[in-house]
Amino acid sequence: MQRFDRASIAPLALLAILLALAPMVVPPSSLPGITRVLVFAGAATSLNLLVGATGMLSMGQGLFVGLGAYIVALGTIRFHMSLWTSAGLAVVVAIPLSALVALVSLRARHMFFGLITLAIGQVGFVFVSRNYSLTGGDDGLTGVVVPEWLDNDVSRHFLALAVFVLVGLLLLRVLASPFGAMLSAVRDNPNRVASLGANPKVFEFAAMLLAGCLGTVFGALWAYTQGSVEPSVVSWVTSAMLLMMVALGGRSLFIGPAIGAIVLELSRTYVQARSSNGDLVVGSIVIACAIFFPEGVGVALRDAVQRAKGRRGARADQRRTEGGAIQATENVA
Amino acid sequence: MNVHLLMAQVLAGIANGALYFLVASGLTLLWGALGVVNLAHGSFFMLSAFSAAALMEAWGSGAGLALAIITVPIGAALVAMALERTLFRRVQATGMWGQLLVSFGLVLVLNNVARLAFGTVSRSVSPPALFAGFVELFGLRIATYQLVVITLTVGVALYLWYLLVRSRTGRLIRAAVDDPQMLGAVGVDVRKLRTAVMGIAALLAGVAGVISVPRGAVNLGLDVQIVVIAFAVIVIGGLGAVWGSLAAALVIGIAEAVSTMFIDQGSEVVIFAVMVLVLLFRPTGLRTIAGRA
Repeated sequence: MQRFDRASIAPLALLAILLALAPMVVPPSSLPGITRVLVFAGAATSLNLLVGATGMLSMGQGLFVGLGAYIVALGTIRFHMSLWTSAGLAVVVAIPLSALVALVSLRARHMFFGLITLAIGQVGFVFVSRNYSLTGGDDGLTGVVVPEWLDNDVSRHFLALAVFVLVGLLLLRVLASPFGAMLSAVRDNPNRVASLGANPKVFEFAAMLLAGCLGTVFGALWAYTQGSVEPSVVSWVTSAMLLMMVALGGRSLFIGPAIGAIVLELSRTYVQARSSNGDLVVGSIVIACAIFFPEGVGVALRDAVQRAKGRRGARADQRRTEGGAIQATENVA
Repeated sequence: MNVHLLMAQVLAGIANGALYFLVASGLTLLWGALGVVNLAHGSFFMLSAFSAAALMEAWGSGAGLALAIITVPIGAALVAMALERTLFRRVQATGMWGQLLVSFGLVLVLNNVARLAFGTVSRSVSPPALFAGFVELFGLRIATYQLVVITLTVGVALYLWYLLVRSRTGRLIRAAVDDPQMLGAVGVDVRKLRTAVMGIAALLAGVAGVISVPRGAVNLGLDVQIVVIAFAVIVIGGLGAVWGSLAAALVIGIAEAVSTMFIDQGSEVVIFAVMVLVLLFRPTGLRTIAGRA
């Protein structure tokens, strides 16, 4: 079970510190790329509430990211709303929408559940990309109005970082609560949860509501940090990318999706700036990660850290006992 | 309402549904019987369509199509079997997640390969003169090309039926649908079977890709478009059910074609509406292996 203590917050804090240092380290021109990684990392972490914590393979998270992005873009461009009003409106709209998606998709389980969420997401994509008068159709919407204090790359980066850390802490707290324990019980054995007198569907429903709202938050953040939205945000591309980030980083680790986002999005940004064949490289990276780290890069990383710690501990043991502790650690490795 | 127009749309829908069936039937066997979820299945379809279009441009539409229908599906099957042995087999033990990652990576790689090999311009090759006309049947004008697609699909469906019911491979596949663990326990090499089914599935997708060329607009978006439709067919038809997917493919094809008479755009939405409707009443699809979805 997830705990809310120093050990579980430490990786998130470490990541946050690294990303907070980014504006000082990377050239200013590549800062927006890092900011986008942050937005993806947050959206993937919110998706992992479904995938990793509750065991629901949602392929429709892009719908909520797109919802947030489009409501903020429409609100600020057409209706002159402020940052907070439009973001708040997006979350308010996300509640009934995610409830509707949950009602339909929770009829099925596992991959079938995933395919229904994918289908609903595609309906949203078709609606957005064909509706020229409201959403700008294929062209999307450009020129999201941002307040003055947000009108430079560094402050956009720190806004994204702040939202990412806040949502991360919230999610960690939720996972450490009795509700979070019930979510992992539903993931491990829904029948047993039902036989103990709780309705697993209620917990899946609640998880979908929360994940939908948080996905919307990062969609709103997308609109503010990118300045424009296009229909591909709503489409399966975003949903699939987010799901791959979760799988690539490690769904069993809280920080895993963020690691996946960094690997996938940074390599994509890096390659795309240099050649037009970014997909070839990114696809190869995904395949290689799947073969060498089937449980996720983050899990492999954690194991490596623990092994290093264990070896250091073993060396201390060896000094005391002259025993075969190294042998033992290496056998485990 | 014009009855003739309606009938023409229904027929076009059947022809489209036939293509969907060819793509989905292999995928449903692969997933239902052998637990391989292959997102890159549509990439085989797209690559086959591009190869066939290139052959038809180089050799003339008649000879090119004849050459393509023989060589391209076999090529697709060989590529798929090689990919199964080198990539999918390695992640089999880690379950669905490894397969999702590998096949998603393959979608990206194969799409890029197609872009490098065939360019970004969408291709349209007119069908050979023999198939370009219309025939009068029961007072209806029917495009010959649609008849060819339907005939060919019936032929492939018969072959598939023969394969499943009569051949040893087919018996093994049906056994795998029922109980894969037991099949392994009695000494059948399930890994080899997996490779074979992957080949058959890609062969069917290859056939569909080749005969879809005269339909027009062979483009780089086809891979995902067709695989999403194929998954919708599987969901509606039921996992591992070949004949369920035939029914589902026809329902989807007809619903899509008829809907274009009433709404201008967004016929994809109709596919998903059908899917959601079916699942509201039958959460495991029309026919499925109970409990294994």
